[in-house]
Amino acid sequence: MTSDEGLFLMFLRGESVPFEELVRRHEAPLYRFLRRRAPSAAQADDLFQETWMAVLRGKHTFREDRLFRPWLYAIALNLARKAGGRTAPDRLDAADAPAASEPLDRGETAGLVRAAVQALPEAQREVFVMSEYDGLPYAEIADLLGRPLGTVKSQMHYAIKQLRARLEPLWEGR
Amino acid sequence: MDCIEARDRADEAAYGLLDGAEQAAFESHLRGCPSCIRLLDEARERRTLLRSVRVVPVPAGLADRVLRRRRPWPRWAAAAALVLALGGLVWNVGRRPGFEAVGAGARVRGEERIPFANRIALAAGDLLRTQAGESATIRFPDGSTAAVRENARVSVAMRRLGLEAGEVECRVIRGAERFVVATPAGEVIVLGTQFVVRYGGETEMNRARAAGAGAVLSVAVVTGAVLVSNSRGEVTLGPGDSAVAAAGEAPRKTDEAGLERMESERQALEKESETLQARVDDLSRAGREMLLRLRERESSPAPAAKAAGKSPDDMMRATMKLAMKAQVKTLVDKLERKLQLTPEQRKVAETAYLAMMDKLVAAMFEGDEAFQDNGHVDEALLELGKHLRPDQQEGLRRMQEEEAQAGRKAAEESQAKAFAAAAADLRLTDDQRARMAAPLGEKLQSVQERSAMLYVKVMMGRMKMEEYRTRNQALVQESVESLREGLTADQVEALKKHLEKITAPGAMTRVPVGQEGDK
Repeated sequence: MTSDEGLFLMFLRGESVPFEELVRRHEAPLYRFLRRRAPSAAQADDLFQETWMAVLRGKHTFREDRLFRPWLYAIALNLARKAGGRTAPDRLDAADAPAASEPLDRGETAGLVRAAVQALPEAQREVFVMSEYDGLPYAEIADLLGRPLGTVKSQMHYAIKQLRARLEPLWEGR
Repeated sequence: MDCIEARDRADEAAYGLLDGAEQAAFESHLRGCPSCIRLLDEARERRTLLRSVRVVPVPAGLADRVLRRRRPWPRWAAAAALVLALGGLVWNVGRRPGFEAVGAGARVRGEERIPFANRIALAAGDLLRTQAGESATIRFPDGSTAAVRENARVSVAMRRLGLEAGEVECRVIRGAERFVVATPAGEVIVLGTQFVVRYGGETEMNRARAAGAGAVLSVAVVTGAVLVSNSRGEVTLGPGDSAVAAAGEAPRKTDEAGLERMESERQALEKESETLQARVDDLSRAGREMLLRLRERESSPAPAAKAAGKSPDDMMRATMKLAMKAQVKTLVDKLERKLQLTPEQRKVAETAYLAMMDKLVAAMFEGDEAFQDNGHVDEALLELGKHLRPDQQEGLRRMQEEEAQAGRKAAEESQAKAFAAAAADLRLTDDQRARMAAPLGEKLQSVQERSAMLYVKVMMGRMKMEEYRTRNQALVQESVESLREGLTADQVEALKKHLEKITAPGAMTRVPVGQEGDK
């Protein structure tokens, strides 16, 4: 499978199919990333379109020693901010599909987790959501948020300690 | 680390927040402690559980909506742009030079005589005069130079010198139009690059022949080839040859020396501009070959090349337009064939593409990169699309996909080739080859492209050679840094040399010339 960067370079050389592949490859994670930070689903949709338009317009500013995804997400985050969204998402949606194999009441678990995450201070919540739900590595998060890596890690540390404490009832009996 | 600490660290470990030493201490405690042994697994399970609360539903058709708005930028058009930039070299090299004389002398224009001691602008039809002790170098718009010695009288035009008296040493950039030095005793027509022409009664040889022979033209060639001709005959000279001609006498080769002085001067100059000259020559060749190839396809003769009064800019534009027309014809022919276009549809396509190409040439010329990138080819395709039947539209879509596929395959092949060459130069082990195939292959291609893009700027006169050298070096350095992991010191050195080799301007001539042949 060709890397994102490889696809993007092919695209820069004038081919359209690699671009298509990139859009599809990042469709779900990018949309979710935006949805969590946009005031509404409709706006998330718009932001998704706008992000890719911005990619097209700025394609020649992409240096080939950069990684593609952080660049893409930085564009998306910037657009989301401009649209009045927040970088610290205040919405986590309930699971649709069963992911864990535990026979717990999913609704209740989800509710507890959501509440606990929402109770985190903004900076820590930003970092936690980007790591756990947007799946970004700490270095990328540091880049996106313009914070030192050490700060990101310590904010993450704070978040998991808080969550651990709040979600104690969930951990009982395991 | 003891159990209490380990318990404390478990979550951090599961989230990858421990540094190397701490992680090692944690893991080693776990291995040795039966009550702590499951700590890490449990922490990971908790992490997984938290993560499971997410799934934001993604609306259908999101990607499709993005992609429908965008049309592809055909590869050939990008390649064509590069070809034209290379082709433009024939008339215009390096900075955008003016037409001027540098040194000391006087310029005579009509009735007006203006002495100069530094530099002066020239125009076709001017006369340049130097007195004893003066000398000046004429810089032609195409980059050619003619060093005029003392006691000379020279008239100038774009690619022509009229030598009425004195001596000139010329370095001529190869071009589609010949460079001529005309004297009353004969013409010197340049086929090559560097030669000296003397005309008049000042030289030893002329004095020796003074009796009855009148003024004599003598020509000595340093590099390249020169044709000396008059109404009585002609002779071709190569490096080291010299010839004399007099009015009424056919030119003939001589053994005359006098090349020593020129030779040492030449060597001094050569050292200074050696690489640059070599690169210019390489690229001139490439530029001219491409133009010749394009001309072969055109049935009508090249328009602007002969016109004397046109400026180099006009000539470049004319060349570009010519090349564009050829490309448009190729594309429209292909569309016609593959989509079974009716004559009306073909006309629509031709008109639309030509109109768009005009804009593109203008944009390229003005250096408007933003314009070039915004897929203006789309407009022509869009226009054609309106006139197509549904089955033809389907055919077009399929054609574009095939092309993209073929392009991708070609790109992969060329990447593999480039990688093989680098792997050989670096003597990569099997292990290294496996590991580096992707990153090195991609890096090679992108470095070459970036370097080519920079050089196109130099060739179009938008960047100085100095800056290009610096930036190219930086590019090579960056690339070496990003790839050096896992390589031995020798290999790193070999990599640097390899990158320098593939980004040398001579290597640029292998840029693909649009669509070769038909598919």
